[in-house]
Amino acid sequence: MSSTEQGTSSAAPAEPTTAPESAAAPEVPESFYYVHGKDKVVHKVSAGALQHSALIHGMISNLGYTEEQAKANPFPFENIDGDILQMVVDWCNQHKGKPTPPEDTNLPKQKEKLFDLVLAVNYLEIKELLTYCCKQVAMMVKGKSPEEIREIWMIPTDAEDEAAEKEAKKRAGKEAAGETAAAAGDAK
Amino acid sequence: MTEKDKNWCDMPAEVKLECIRNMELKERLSLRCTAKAENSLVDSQTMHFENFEISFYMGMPQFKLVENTEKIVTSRSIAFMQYILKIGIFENMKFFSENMNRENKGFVGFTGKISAKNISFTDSLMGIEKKDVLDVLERLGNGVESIKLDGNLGIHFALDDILAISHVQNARYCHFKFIHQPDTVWKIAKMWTENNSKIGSTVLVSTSVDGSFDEFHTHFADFIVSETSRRIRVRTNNPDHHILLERGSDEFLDEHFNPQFQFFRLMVISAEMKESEYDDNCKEWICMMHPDIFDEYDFDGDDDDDWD
Repeated sequence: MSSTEQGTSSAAPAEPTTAPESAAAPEVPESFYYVHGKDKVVHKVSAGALQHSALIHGMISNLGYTEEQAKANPFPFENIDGDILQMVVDWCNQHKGKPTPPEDTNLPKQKEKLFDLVLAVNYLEIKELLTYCCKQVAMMVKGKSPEEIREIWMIPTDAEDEAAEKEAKKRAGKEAAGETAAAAGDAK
Repeated sequence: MTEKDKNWCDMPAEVKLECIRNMELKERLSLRCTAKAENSLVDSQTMHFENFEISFYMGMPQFKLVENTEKIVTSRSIAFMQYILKIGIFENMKFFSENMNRENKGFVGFTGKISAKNISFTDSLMGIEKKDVLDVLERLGNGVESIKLDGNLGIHFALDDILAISHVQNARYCHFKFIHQPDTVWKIAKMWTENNSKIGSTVLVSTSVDGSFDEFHTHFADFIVSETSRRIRVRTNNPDHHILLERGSDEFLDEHFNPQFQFFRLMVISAEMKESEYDDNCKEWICMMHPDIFDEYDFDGDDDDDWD
């Protein structure tokens, strides 16, 4: 990955003296956009790489930024950790303009990182990467019993769920009562 | 993404569903046991299975799921069977039928729709019961491609009821093995004519009762386009469609089987089809219905069929 992607060709291709039918169209210089996560580190990413993200692609289409405007206004993704955004940008760059392979073995094995990546990818609407991530999540529990799955994914039991719900209701009730009492006090 | 580590419970439902779609049966079953919410999510997802086989022993059903020739599940639990039928989309379903509904409770008490592409009812000593077949066929959802009745379809087998089922009318391929009613072949052709069935629809029939060819000839006498001793081609109500009846016969069959034992192939063909385009290899299609019948036969020999 290159968070600051280099090597873009700014030089215009030489004009052919004749224009044979089979000649490729002159290359259009690639445009770049900028994104940052919670850590404010700005990543320069090509429009081609960002095609993977339906969310960003939509933003680009709607905003119609020039290169200068894009540089001055990086897309902020405050809900995504810097290292996770870095992973996403890496993946988009690696798969820019290429058909995605059936498997991706470079995804994080660490549970917390994987779930963070899943949420980020889901938010950014990167369909192919989400598919890989979901496969990886499913692999985490391969061959596991219900108890093991509950432990690995920290799934509360129904009883725990009910208790938490009761507690939340109780707390909400107390807060509402407190607010009512305060409002009554103010009125006096 | 926030201070607290994210986990399964933080995933949106659509992401969880995508993960579940990537799980095998065992993991799905485990996950659905962890909590009510997970149970609902898992049960909302269908699952593809290659082979579902159900057999009955002393009236007790047993089913198995087979993937890539490997048995992944065998169970006698009715509740589990019903669950698998509910979530399953089956490539192949095989019923080893022996009076499935002894207690008249319907098909293993399952009342939902069955999603399966290829259905077969396989031989048993008792033969296939019409009610068993109807119970299953009537529960099938859309997308049925082939139906095989591989059992001993006795003289009382009510073909009319079977042919009235839309899945049978629309299946690309059906076969009726050992059906002992000479009216089978023309009734199928009549059903196709009435339903304007698609070109390529094919039915194979084997029988040990004589008269199928003659009955077909009699019922379609006014529609015959061409005929030989082994083929009859008839018009249908659709000017673009013809129906071709072929009788399978070769030296081996003539030598080893009673002449009453006969094989027929019935196809909806294009009215444009030329006679030179007919497929003369009857062994191939007979083997689709009776895979072992030519076991002692030299397939590589140069003894081609002696077609008219």
